[in-house]
Amino acid sequence: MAEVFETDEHAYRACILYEVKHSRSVETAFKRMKKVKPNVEYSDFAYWYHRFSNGHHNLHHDRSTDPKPLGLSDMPTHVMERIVENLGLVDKLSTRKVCKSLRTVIDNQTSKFGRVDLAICEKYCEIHYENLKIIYFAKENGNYLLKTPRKSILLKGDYSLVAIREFASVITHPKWIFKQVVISANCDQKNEHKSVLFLNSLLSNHKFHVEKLRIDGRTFEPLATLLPLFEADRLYPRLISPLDDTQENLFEVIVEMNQWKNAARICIERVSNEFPIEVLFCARGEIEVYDFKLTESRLVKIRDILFKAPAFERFKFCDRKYDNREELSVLTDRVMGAHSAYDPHTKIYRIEDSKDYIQIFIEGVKKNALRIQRIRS
Amino acid sequence: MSVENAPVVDVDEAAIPVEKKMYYRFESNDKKEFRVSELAIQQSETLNRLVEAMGYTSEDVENKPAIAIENIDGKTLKLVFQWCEHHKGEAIPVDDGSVPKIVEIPEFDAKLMDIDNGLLFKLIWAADYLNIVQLLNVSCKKVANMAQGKTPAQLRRVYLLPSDEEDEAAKRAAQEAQDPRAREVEEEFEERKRQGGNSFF
Repeated sequence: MAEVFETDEHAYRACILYEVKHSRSVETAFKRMKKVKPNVEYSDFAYWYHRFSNGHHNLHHDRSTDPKPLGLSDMPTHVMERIVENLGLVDKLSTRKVCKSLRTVIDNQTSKFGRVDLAICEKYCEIHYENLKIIYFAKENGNYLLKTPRKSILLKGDYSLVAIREFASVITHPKWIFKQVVISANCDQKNEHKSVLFLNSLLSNHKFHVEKLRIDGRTFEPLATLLPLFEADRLYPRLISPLDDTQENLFEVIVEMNQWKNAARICIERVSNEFPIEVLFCARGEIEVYDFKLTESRLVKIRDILFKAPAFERFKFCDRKYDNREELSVLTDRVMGAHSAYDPHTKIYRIEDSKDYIQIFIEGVKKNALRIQRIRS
Repeated sequence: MSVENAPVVDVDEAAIPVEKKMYYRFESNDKKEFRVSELAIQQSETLNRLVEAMGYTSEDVENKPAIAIENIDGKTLKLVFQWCEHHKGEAIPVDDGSVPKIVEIPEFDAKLMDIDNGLLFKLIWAADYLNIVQLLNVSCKKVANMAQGKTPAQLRRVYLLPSDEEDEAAKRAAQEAQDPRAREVEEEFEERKRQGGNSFF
């Protein structure tokens, strides 16, 4: 049956006419046609549907004799701009490959998009442009397999270099702004080093402002190398563990960067038990740590080092595995109460020679989160 | 009376204030006449300014010839006025400059724009010409939605756009058609190059 529609154009048109005569909507009729002629093009279907709807029932009509219909290229430039204003990142990337005139319109338009991700892994790289996923798989003989939702093609080249170059070409677009950038290297140190250097060489002449930034890897090298290129309101660093001397030195470089100090908020998923928390204390914005063991020794460091840090504004530590510890409120009162500056009733810690003070809050359903906030006079 | 001669939307007379009862008459370039309410006309900045400048009375709109809209055909104008009547009295949106735009297509508009691409582009062209901001917004959104999930080759078919190569070829052909000497000159140049000549002149 389906073959008839593939080979006999008139049978296909007659079928559309039948749908029109039965007053089926264009969507329903198209869905029904798609079942018997899967490769039917909507534009062609819609042409015949509307022609028949308008009372022109000739099945032998020759479309080429129609006056040339208006197309996108007949629109004034400001209308083309208006149309492409509605496109998201994925459709803009596709539409700019259609022709030069659309590319020019798209490239001249300032646009703000959502999230772009680059993940460099051992045998593949993954790029996410908002909700589109593209994967570059390493293959033998210097080839790679490009996999998108629409196609899989084997191509020549190094999978990671091609992916990094593609990602860089999008985020360095001079008129495009991204809310969130994620770069992660989940490969061995040698590959991580090579990839980070290459990405840095492509991005180093640019400056990016993003709302949220996450750069992580097996080591601190990706963050230390790439962070200076960004200005981010929020940072999402992954703190590696264990921290050897090299990594500790690298992290000390990172926390001295303006990008770290000036971030409005730094959100850290987990800090290992061995991590020297005092290196976090030079941030000027808010720091939140979601998985953090609140031990007595750490509270002592918070009291003796953090409370004396002049730039400190707000820290929040959440101890999700608090089972083997005494109640956080009691522990806090005991450690902070060792100094006369602390009042356990108000949970206020007075700062010497200043009208500012530090307010301590015990929060969360399980009362396992410690929020410390500097209140300025 | 043809369909186009009737008011494009049934009107609840009682619901319309007396001072808004005036209907203007417009004529498309294929001589189709439409009666459009004063309130609906306000959706079009161009037509609104025009009728304000004309200062017609109720008698004038009946006795004087219909206002001609020279470059829009009846089929397109019918859609335009149906849209204006349905959305009469609604506030005209102001562009906030954000890109990508967030535009919702209401059900009525979606049904109205369930038309072939040629007519849709005519509607966009008319909305732009008549400066009907929200109609332009929704029709542009409709065209943009057509791009969703399509490959560049599919988009060329949908938007009736040539590829860069086809575009170049068409430009060359147009140039040659304009100046037949151009091809001869080019061929002569190529021939001289093949013969090893350094300079054309």
